[in-house]
Amino acid sequence: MAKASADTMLLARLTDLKAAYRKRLLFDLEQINQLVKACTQPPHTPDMQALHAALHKLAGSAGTFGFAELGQQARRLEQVVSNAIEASTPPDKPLEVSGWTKQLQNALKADENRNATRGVESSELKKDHSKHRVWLVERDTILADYIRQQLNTFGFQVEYFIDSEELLACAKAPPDLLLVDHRAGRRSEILKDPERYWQDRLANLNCPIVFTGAEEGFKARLQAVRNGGSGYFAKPLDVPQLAAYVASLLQETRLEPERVLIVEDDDELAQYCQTALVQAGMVVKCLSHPKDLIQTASDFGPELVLMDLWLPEATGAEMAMMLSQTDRWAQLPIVYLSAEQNAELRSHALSMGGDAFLDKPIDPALLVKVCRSRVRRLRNLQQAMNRDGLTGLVKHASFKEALLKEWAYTQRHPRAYSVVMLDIDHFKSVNDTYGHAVGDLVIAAVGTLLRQHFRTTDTLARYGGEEFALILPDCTSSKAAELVNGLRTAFQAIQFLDGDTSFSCTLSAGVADNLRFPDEPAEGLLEQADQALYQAKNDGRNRVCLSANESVLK
Amino acid sequence: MNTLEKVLYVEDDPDIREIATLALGDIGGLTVKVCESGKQALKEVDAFGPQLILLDVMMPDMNGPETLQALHHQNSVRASTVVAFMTAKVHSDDLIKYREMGVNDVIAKPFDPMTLADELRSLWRRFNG
Repeated sequence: MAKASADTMLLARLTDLKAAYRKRLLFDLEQINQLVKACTQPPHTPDMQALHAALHKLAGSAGTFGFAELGQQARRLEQVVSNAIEASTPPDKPLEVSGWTKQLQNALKADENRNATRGVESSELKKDHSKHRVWLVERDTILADYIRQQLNTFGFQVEYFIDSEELLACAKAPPDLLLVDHRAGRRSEILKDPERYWQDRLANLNCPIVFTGAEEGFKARLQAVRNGGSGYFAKPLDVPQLAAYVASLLQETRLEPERVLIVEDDDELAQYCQTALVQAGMVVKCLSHPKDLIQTASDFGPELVLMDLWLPEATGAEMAMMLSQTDRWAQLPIVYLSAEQNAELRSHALSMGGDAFLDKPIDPALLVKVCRSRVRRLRNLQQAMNRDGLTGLVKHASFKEALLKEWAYTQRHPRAYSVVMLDIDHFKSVNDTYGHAVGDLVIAAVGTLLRQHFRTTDTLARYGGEEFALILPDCTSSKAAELVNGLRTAFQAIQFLDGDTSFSCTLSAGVADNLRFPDEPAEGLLEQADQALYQAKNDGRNRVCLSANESVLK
Repeated sequence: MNTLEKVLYVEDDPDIREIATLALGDIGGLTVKVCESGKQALKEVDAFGPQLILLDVMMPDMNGPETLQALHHQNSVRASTVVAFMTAKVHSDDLIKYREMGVNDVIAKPFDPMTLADELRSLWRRFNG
């Protein structure tokens, strides 16, 4: 325990040092900005030595504190200054420095976007957002109580209204989602024109709406669609299924930034595109020479390539062909940047593997839209390929890949991470008693719960059958055990329905972190977590065990 | 004495000094003395008796090579002492120049705080293994 807490303190100190350095960067960048300005504004008395020293310092330090992109950019600029100093003792030609400040700022922004997604800068263990707010409109107060309690266990914050009148009287900011019984209003008016009734009342609510009702069938569903509903659930409500659906509707708003690689030898245009995309929250890398494409791609892991059609040594179309012939990048969307008007050349470029053209001059708003929509499509495709259909979690193989990645990352960058193995107790008897369809619902409920309880940066996997595995970056095992224990108590509160009877289930989990096992290889931590899970099962199930049997939460 | 224990590190940037102290001491388990200038290093080196001296190249007043010369001058570098420069940029002709000064190796900046101590240990083993 002493070793672990000492390590935690070390990590905390590293984080503090990084934060302090980030503050200092503001001054360093401003100093460079002033020196750069002196090169362009009269009187032209650039202090080349000072500029070189400032860039050199930045190049040497930024990477150590987790600002690798900024450090590399500073090094490139340092090289330019150093060449200029060597070339002409009296600086006869002014240095071409326009855009330097912007380039450094973009690099910093890219580092921060990446740090934010990697969770390096913030060791915030709460979920990315506060709880999702759901408003429930339901006339049956007993049913409402039940739905509210059940949705709470899935991690939603529920506010209750008895009917449309009470809903309209509420002056609060609209929720993330509205769940409404389509009869919960003035009976006579609803009967007269049910469509108008809800359209009028819900027009101003800018959120997804899910209708519920006693009727099953085409008419009720069609009415829900016409009323602008995102879904319709017939009563008796299957809350785990409803929760899974609601979670999937809300999922989309929590996305990682898109990763775009720009291959363009015109620095100014590359810069221009980079700025537009970075401002839209994406992570961007620029490459001016095609020969480094494959290497850069495997280092950076882009989700889209913006490719100049005319590059030195090779054409963009040839590069697109090369990517499409590489297994790993065969699915990667490629968008050409081009002023080419020749229809034949354009069609040839598309047949070589590109997806679309963006014409120069590039419209930044269109650029962002095109990139975003293509990356989204790629992600949907990958999701369909890599995710388990029942739970929406990643599959076994992707989990193993993520585990290796996390291990490799922590070899280079200091941070704690935990691995969790989780298993539904006595699942076989659930299947035997209630049938596989109900068993599937129980598994799906764990999937929904996991997604509600953990961060988007966590890796959540259905490891097999009723077994789940998690990787939690920036999280020690004690913190992880606490989080998983929250999940455990929520899970046992869920009521599953089978006809008229209801039942509940429990789960057991084992947790291990890399601080306690610094020398274990990637798979070793998983094994430790698995042993802890075995311990939890042996000790009587429905509990969370830490590796090496250090403590138990139940 | 065959394992590396004592490292003297000369660096003008206070933030780097702090993270290096953490990297070498708390994370790396070495005994480390950090100096903010060549001048301070000259004063402290003999009392501390380092096995490895790590010098930042670009420093105001007295840079890395100048500091090393002065250390040699006052006989503070023993035959077994390993000397390394630390720099963000190294040309191959610089490297030859550094070797002639008696520098064993050059450590690249930016360094990774988690592995810096290991890097120094393997450097130490190369010359004192």
